[in-house]
Amino acid sequence: MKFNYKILIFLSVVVLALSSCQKYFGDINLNPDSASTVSPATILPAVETTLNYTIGGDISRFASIFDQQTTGNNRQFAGYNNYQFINGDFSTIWDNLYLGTMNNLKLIETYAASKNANAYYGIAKILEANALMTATDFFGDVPYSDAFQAAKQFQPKYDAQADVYNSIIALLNDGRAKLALPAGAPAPGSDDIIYGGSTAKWTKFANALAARAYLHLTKVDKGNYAKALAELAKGAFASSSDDARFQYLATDIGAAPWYEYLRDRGDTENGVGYIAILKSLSDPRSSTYGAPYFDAKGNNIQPLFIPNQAVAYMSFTEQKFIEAECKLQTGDAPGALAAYKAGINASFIEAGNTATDATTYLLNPKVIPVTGITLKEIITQKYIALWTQPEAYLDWRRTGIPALTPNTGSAIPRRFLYPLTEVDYNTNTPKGVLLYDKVWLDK
Amino acid sequence: MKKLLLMLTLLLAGASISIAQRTVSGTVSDEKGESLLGASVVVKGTTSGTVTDLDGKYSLTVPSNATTLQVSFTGYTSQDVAIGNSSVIDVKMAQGVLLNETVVTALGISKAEKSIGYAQQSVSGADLTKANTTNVIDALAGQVSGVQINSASGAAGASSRIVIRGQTTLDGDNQALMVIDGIRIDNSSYQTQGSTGGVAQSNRGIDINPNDIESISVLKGASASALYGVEGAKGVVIITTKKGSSKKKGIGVEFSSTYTTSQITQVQGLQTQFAKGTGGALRAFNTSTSTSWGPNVDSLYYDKSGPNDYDQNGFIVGQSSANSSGKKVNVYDPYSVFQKGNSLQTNLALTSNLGDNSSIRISFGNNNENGIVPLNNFQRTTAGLSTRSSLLDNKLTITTNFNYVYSTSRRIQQGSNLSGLMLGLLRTPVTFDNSYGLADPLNDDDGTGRNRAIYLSDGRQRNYRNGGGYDNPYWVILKNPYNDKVNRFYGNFDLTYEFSKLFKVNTKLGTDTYSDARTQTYEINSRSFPEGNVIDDKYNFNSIDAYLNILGSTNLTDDITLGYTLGANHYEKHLLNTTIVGDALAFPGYTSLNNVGSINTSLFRDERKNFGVYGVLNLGYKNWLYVDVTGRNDWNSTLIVPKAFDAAAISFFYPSVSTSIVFSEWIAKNDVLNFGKLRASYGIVGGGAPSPYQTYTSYVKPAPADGWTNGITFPYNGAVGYLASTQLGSTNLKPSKTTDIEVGIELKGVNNRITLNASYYSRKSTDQILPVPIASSTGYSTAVLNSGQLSTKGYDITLGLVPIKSKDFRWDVNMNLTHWLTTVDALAEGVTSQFLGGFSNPGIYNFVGQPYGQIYGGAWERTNTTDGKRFDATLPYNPKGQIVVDATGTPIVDAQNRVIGNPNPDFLLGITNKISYKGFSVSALIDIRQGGQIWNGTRGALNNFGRTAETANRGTSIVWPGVKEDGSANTTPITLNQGWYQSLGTSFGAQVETFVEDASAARLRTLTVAYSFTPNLLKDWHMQDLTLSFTGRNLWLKTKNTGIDPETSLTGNGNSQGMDYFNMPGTKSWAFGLSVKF
Repeated sequence: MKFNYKILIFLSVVVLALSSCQKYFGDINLNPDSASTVSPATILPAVETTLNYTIGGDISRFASIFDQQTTGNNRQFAGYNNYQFINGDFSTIWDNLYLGTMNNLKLIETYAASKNANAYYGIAKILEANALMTATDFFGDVPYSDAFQAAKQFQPKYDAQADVYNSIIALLNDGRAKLALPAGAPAPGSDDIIYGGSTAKWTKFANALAARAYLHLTKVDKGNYAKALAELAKGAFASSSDDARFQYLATDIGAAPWYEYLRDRGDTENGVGYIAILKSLSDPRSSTYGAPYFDAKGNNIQPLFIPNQAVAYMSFTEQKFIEAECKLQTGDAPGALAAYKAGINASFIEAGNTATDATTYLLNPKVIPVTGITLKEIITQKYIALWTQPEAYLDWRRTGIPALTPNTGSAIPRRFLYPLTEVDYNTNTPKGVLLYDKVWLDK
Repeated sequence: MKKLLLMLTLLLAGASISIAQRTVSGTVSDEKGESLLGASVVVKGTTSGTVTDLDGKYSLTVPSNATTLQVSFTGYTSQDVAIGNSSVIDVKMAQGVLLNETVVTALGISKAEKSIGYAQQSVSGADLTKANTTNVIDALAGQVSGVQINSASGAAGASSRIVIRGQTTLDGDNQALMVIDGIRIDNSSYQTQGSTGGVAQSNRGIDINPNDIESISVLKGASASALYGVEGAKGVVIITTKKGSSKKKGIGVEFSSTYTTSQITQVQGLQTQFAKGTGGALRAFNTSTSTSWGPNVDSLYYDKSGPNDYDQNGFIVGQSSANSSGKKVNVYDPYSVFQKGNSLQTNLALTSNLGDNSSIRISFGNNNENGIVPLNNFQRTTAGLSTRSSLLDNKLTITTNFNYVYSTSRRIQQGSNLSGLMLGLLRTPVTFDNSYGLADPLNDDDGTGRNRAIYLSDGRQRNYRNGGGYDNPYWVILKNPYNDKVNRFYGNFDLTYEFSKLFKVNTKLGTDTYSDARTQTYEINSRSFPEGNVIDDKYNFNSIDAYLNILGSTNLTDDITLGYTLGANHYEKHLLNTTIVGDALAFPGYTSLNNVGSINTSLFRDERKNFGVYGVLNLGYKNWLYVDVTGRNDWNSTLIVPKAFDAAAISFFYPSVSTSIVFSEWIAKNDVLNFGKLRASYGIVGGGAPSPYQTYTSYVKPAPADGWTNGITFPYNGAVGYLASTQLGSTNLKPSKTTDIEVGIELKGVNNRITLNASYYSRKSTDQILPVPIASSTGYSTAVLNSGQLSTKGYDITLGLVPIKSKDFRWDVNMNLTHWLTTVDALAEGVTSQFLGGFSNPGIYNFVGQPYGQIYGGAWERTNTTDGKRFDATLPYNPKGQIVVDATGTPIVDAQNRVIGNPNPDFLLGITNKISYKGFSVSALIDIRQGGQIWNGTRGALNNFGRTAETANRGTSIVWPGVKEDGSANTTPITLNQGWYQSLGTSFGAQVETFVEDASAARLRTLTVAYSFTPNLLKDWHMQDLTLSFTGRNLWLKTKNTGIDPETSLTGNGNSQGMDYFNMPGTKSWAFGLSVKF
């Protein structure tokens, strides 16, 4: 039948077309513009940037409002200054830590382990420890042992903070062990923006971070002072030139977080309390750490919030104050004083003052009382020196120094809220958490 | 039908008997003066008659005792015309209601309207052009039921959104598919910058010239559109272009020109009493203070210092100041930045017949629109060529339609960005003159090349915050321009060869290709990019849509008709977007990529293919029962897992069935019920993923930032950076599915003076492919999954009335009622919400069990216990509960964000009244949107700055209506002062629900007054038609929303509707048009 014959032709054309189906579609569903595999050398710089921008950006601004180094005075930051936070305000911080930093470090680690690329492996573990410690310090119990397994687990459980700290120490130990081995191949170089691939410097950073971790745990166990000192004894930062810092650029799209924030938003100023402390000590750092952020015309005049600021993950200055505190608490007063002086000296140089300024400053009896330094002097000086660094807030939370009056109400926040994405999508997220609740190591 | 009439009439004419006779002649034409071929002219009461020729002319010998001529023509209302003593009788026919009207359905197949079993509605080209819109989508507003149109803003070139019968996808585009002459065309709206900032982009449907459209057929349900695949599940807008007529002799010329002037409509109310300052204290303009919490302007004077950079009048001082010049300060209207917009639309079309069976139409269109913001413009030039030829004894039919479009525009930054026009404009204190008192602030030159409105003498930007904060509106206009150029070609070639009635072969080949080259520049000292910035954003789009069909029809028996179509379709689409961002200009005045410090490139791609085969079977029984069955199988590229190709996994089949029962055929012809039809349909539409590349996890270029800044752009200092995408791909996706059930009734009665077309439908979209949000602690923030379900229930009703109809006077009423409710039934396991767009507080979210796209943000704590007096965090939220206040009488903010608004309207109602008398016609379309809410973030933000009208009550006390935490009524007053408005009284605080407003609106969408000159007069001028018209749009608007026109949308035509944050206001316009036909 003529009619059927023609349909047959048509259908056979269709069948023919489909038989070469695979050829017909080709690689059309593979995006040539996004990589399907990448090397650690491309992930590492992105991770280092993400982690630093978070520590030096949102976390720094929120923590410094809590510890009153800064004041939020406009728009959203006026609300934050009165502790008006919602869960969503902490989402970017959390995402930067979990997605941008830790999940990608896991990818480096898996890759490096398969290639015996020890340097990459070690660096990744240490950065992961840094990120995880930042997460647990501010959020308390956090997912870790169950985390980063999206393919099989959408609801990771929350690890108790004590367990998280065990994981941090394990990460540092694992990382340091690998850093002690030959770097292997591939090995990091200029893609490591922090240290240019120097495993020696990474080891120092790891030791300093381990000391910081034990210091954080001293409220729950005083024995940790000695453990912190033991970590430092393994060889931490020898001078400020060993600092773990991220060097930002003097460009619009590579500028430091505070600079960008002040340029684009500018809703924050110096904290009144912070300035008062500097004044009471006639502190020469008033002209830098204490400088106003804006002049009357609204120009950003803060001399240190420059586009090419080098923002610390951790500094020699901080390490010296850790040493001073631990030595004081373990009965080594002369050692404590020496470290205290070194810390102040390093801070002066950081702030753009001179060693001579520091020497003069140390003669001030309010800086070194005739009766000798106490915890109050050490933490006060650390509070001044770690200007806009989140660690200053954690010290206040741990020691209550300096004494602060809440901006509003009767309490100062003692933690961050879990981000909205975690509250909404992970049923294991602790419920009813308030800003004023204490995390385990703060109890 | 026409042929039959002709033959019948000729037969009748031949049978006439001659008595005393005379000859009458004349022309029969339609309302527009177009001559009608084949109209029947019969002497009433006799069998004597004739039909009109090619020019609509007739000549008839009539008996001397004849008094009346009866003139009829299919599709027109028959007329009785008195003969009297005249020998020349011209007759103008009015279009009537057609019983056998054909409509354009899927794949461009024309079908008798009575045989279709699903909802379809047509709009004529004349009704589209009458609406006088640049964007053809806007012209559909209120004219079709089941359709919602939203214009994003009044900016020239802004997008419009069209949604038919609710949302069918959680994540993809929910807008209707656009098809021109059977070929898909792109109607996307790509954002150069974020959806909450940047400029108002166009939807690419704006490239279509409404004057080239013969008609639009809107297919509403899934069974109507099943043959288009998943895109068709969203409804289809089928555009048929004008093709010219082969019936017409010589060259026809159509010319029309319309001049429009426009201005802003409703604006946010502002206070005019309080100057820049804080705590009641004045702050000078050389300080960075952002707020208007200063003193009352009545107490302020200019000092004696004379002109300075900030103010020509001097500095502002208090009443008691010794420096006071005694001259009171001026109060400025920030809206004076706006101007009257205008546009000139010119269209020219030439048509000609090329022999008996061929025609050609060439058209040119130009639309030059200047917006309500200076320098904002949109220009569109179109050229079209269409031909139709029937060859080889009419066995071969070829139609072509080719269009070239060149659109350009200059746009203005808006929304949530430091360089947004309204952001700086509305925050400017009343005492600051953004224009520096200049007559022409756009072109000022102080002699050194400096424009004093926007530059201080030290080279910094002049604005009310001394160079900080936000851009001066004039700076935005002059120094942050966005320019785009679109070159587009779309067209198709359609060939049908009829071997026999039972066997025709048809092939259709079409393409849509465009390049969209955009450049956004920021001069040095712009607030968004103080060092200057250049964004070069290019889009190259190309699609190919090709069909091969065999089709035919036959009468199986005397009672049963059969039609069939078998076909295959190849569709592919390629979009490549290249963005080059240049940062930090070396020197001002040269905003080019050649003058930047660093360059950064990024790419975005969307490529897909789909191959489909389909079949259609149409059965008809005795002119009253019709059944259509369709089936289609697709192979879709978005489901392919790279390097693991599996043809079965990307293949899916879906059927539809529809039926129509014309019950009026069962009863005798009568004048009460002319036509009655019941219809029902069931259809399934399958589909791939809404976007490609979801079947694997990729690595992407990171942009570390913290929510307040632009962050760091990679490569960083030469280091290339990649991070794993935050989206986890899936290797086992299956097709998504939309199922649609619809029933409807169509009635025409009382001599076709009442028509009703009503549909009820229910639709379910399941197995949606979407990136499901997951907790970031999993390592990813989204995972692509088959999950989620949306269901829509709704009805649409079209009612037509002709209350008065006489020879010269006619009154038509047409009503379109639209209602639907799309509910999110499920997202994914463990997932109860999905972010669609907007801000973090508030944002537009989907929640399980709630209507699509809710406004979600910080809310007041509300009582939710059974006694209605207390708040209990463990009980469900009660949006109607009383607000709980603390001991100081201050309302408490709920610790959790809540659903605080619903942008979806309850119903839409468009009512058109058209009155025509002889050549005059007046038509008014009242468009009502009842219900639905909008978040007025503009008001929320401006409260913080002390700029809104409501902040003029500063210092007054109120007792907040609510209960105390112990359940007793609140009696403690609070003061509404700066502290209040900067904490709980602003959307910058944790609470944003106060700023959700009622978006209900009623408006006079269009008002058209037209006069067409009578054919007699035109004949002397050798014209066929001359019409003068006036069209007003949005001349009247009534809404409870205190902000701008609530129809506007911050995010353009995306899924997150219901947000206003410093949007550009809407417009109203007046247009005068002239159209001529020779």
